[in-house]
Amino acid sequence: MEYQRLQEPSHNDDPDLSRLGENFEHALESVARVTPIAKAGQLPRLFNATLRLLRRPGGAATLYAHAGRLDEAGVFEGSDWNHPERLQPELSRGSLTGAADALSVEALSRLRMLAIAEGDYRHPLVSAEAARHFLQRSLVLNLDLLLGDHSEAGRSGGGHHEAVQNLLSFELDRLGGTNLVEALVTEADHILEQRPIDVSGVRQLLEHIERLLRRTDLSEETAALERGRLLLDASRGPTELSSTSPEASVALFQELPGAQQDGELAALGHSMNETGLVCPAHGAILRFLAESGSDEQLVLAMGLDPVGADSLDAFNALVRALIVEGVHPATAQCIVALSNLLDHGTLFFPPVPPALWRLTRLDPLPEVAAHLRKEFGHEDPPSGRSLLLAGVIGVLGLPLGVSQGNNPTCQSARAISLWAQIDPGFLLELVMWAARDDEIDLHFEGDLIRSSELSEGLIEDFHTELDTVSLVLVPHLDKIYWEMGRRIVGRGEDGHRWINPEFHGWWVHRGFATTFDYASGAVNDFSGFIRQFHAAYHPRYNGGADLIYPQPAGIVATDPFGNFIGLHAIAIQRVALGPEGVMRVYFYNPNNEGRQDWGQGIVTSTRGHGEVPGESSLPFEQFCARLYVFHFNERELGDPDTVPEDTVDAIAGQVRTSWAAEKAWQEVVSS
Amino acid sequence: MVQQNPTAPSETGARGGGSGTRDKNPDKGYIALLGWSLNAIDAMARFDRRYVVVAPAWAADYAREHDIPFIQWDFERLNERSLEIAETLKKEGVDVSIPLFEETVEWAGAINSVLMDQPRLHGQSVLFRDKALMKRRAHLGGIRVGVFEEAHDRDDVYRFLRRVNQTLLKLDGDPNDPIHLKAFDQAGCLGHRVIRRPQEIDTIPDTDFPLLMESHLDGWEFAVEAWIHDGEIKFLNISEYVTLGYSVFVPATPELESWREAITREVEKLVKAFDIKFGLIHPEYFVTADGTMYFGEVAYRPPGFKAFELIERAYGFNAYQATALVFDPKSTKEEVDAFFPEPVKGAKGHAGCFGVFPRRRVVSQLAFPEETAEHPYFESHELYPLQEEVVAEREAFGTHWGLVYFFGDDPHKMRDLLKHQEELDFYI
Repeated sequence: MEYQRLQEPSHNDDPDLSRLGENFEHALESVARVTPIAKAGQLPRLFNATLRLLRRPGGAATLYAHAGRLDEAGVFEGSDWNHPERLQPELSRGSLTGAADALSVEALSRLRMLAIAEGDYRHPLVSAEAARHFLQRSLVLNLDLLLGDHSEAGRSGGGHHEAVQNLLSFELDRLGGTNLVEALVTEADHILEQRPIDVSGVRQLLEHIERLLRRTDLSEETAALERGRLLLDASRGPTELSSTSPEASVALFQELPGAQQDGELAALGHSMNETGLVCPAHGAILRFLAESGSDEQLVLAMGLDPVGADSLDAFNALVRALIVEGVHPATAQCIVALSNLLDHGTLFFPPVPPALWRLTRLDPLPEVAAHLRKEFGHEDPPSGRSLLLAGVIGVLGLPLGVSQGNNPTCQSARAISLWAQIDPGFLLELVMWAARDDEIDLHFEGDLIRSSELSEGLIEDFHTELDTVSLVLVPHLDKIYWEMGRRIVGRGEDGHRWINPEFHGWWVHRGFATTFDYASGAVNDFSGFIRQFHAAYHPRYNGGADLIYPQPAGIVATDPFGNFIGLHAIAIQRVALGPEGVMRVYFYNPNNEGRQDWGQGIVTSTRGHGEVPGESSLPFEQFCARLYVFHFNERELGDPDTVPEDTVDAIAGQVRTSWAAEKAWQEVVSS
Repeated sequence: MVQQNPTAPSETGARGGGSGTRDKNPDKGYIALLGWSLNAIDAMARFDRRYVVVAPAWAADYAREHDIPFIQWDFERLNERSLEIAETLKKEGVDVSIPLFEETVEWAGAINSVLMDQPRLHGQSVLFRDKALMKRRAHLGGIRVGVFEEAHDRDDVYRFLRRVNQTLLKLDGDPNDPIHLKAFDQAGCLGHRVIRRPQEIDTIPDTDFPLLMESHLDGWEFAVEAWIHDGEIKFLNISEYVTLGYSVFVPATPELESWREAITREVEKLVKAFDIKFGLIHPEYFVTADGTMYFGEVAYRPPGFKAFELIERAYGFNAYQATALVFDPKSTKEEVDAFFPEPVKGAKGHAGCFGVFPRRRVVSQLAFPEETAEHPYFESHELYPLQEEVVAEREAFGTHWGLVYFFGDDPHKMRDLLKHQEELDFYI
């Protein structure tokens, strides 16, 4: 959930830390003591101690204290790391995301580099300057590892992410430097541009940016440094008034003369629209306005466009009620979503206003409220009703910002996003059921399925770093999805054919195509599959038919080397020409980190190619090279045979050398 | 790409006076290690005794590359050429040879009888190698042993199982007490079978015969590592088995350590019965609820399950160096006495290990249990990932797939932790 706890605890008297430190020291002594032939036998213990330390706050600093002894002890003997002068920053990613041993030795090597860079250790072949350069370059290349890893590859990999995060954070804070700040700022912006509901990752980056900006070793002022300060201000308070406490800011605001009040509000609204970040005082002031401010002031404070202003005009009492119930200093970030919701005219969906009114009066079940408040991670969290409402605003306003977090529940996240986009009344109904009745029900082939009667789902260990609506709905949806899956066992075909329309809604097309032979796992008639996808989705081959409702589709998730990782649910939002004249598929990825490298040069884009914030996109053919399941409108299908042979062959070639490399390949032979 | 794995054997290490090696004292003994063990070689490289490794041809290249003093010898079986290696070592000036593995115990006896001019050393080593002779010798020495017999075929086994259970006054239909079968000359759990029902006798392969049969002893099984110098026990470690063949830790729990005096007396009997003047012995015993001690067997070599490494982790002294010290005829009493710490109190903690066997019949990947990895006592493991699906077989007590190491303060916690590992899947 959104609220952040970022205080660095003191770890001086952490008994575990000192025990782990002793274990590391003992292991290091053992490595140092033995002759080279026996070092390999001692390393596993050292590596285990290394990873365990790294996973604890303060562990990296404990390890760093030994960084100067590692070479002498022979930790790197016989490996590439024994020659730090030859190490390539471009190669460190493989180790940082690799197996435990590779990560451990990489971590120790980097801490040695840091000691060289900081002048704490001298190496005959690596200068302080070179060491600093190596680490800075490597950090820039791996900044994404600093944040929670929600990619498919990350979820499927081992759980060493925390260790890597702590290691890189430690390096970052010790190294500093203008280019690191620039890289952090760019990263923060690229995330914010996707308008996620949960911006805790960005706030984490801002913590680093703040610490680095405070240092004196920055060279000349650059645009990125300035942008960094702007983002920090947006998050803490973009104006003098808003950078005080929420209570003080309201008092100060009331004392301002009218014109200055407008200026203040415009500054807040502008900062929010410009960055996607909201400060706590903004929430306090908006609450004050909801109770006693004018409509014009609300328009300014939320940075509304003309549609937004009309929404406010038409649903004035509701909007004010939503603010009073949902927006607090602690939940202020939801103002971004509220503003979006109004600008999109979502309130004009007839079922939405009454459903929202109902939620403003709802007290969730005590256990639901307690759960939400606990997960919010704030020492004095708002009421369950407020948190739920803020969450609902978040999902309705930023439907493409819904994330599955670290759960294998791409299906449920996708469903929430799709409902928020095209069937918000239904979504609000589900939220109501879950919060009030602690169950939801859906129908499958005529049978009622109630989540309260089910116990099994995909989730083994529910990760709760999620938006509030997901927190409330996903456990129910997951069980229902699992139950639907159970009911289609034995049909010998991919069950999504039946499940997707029933799970999401009638608007999921019943036309269904897959290239997997369900029984054997072979790739079946790939050319036919791809031709059909063109005929259904590509405007040049489907008679220019637009996609009216976003459609669920399945892709094969691959790593940066194109290797098969698993199957992943996304939604095709639209297919259109990008600004450079290339036909692109714009899609929603519930990973909610759209920038992913799927190998073979297939890198999903989130900006600069005509994406709506939150969308990912790929050129049509590249998308085809990872697609394995889609739904289509049988009434609006072009002629598959008009798709050129070359196009199909090129895509098939990419597939056969990546995810399908080890799968049987069955072509249809025409006679 | 992942950069090269660092655990490959070092090819860059300079040897012979390189890091970690130590100057040799010409007044001390010159030691031959029989068998190839990197940890033993490492220990000798760091010890003040001269040494040479006697091992088969496959180790020659590695030894040359790493400047390890090496004499090539194939230990397959003793024959008329056996004296050759003894003469070679004598000419080289070697004072004593140390067996590292069960297969080299008899060789060491034969070689040492030449090097030390004590012909009875070879005879003594034969006692250690032949489990039936070993039991008889112990029995004759007044040591309490279970009922045992030699078996040459399946009929012998059948008869023994029946007679033992008859003796126990079992009625028809009562479950049998099991009997234990052990190959005559194999180390530890290799070739160890437990037979409960006559039907199981058919599963014993012909190659296992002849073998030793023993009645089952109910009791607490444990092992001892005792370093003997000049006929005296200089250090006695008690290794507590949590489950035989699965797990062991040192030092033992206070409950088992409370038998230390009685155990020491038993080991002294053994030293006397086998006329052991020097060396490392590794006997196994059962202690029953009333404190009666039964002798299981004794080995004249470092124990399996990396007990030496556990002892070093717990006590800090190198058990290979300790062994070299007590074998070396030129070691003085003072030197030996000064080497060893005080038992139990001298330990910094308890070191244990668990031998992993796949629990499922078909396994395809290493899945190291999260709860083990997260336990504060967990230190390291030597399990390897699988490349493909494997059908796991467990013949007799078999060989484990790798060890998992633990270290911690509380012996009871250690014991329970090791026991608990048996319920976890390491391979799925």
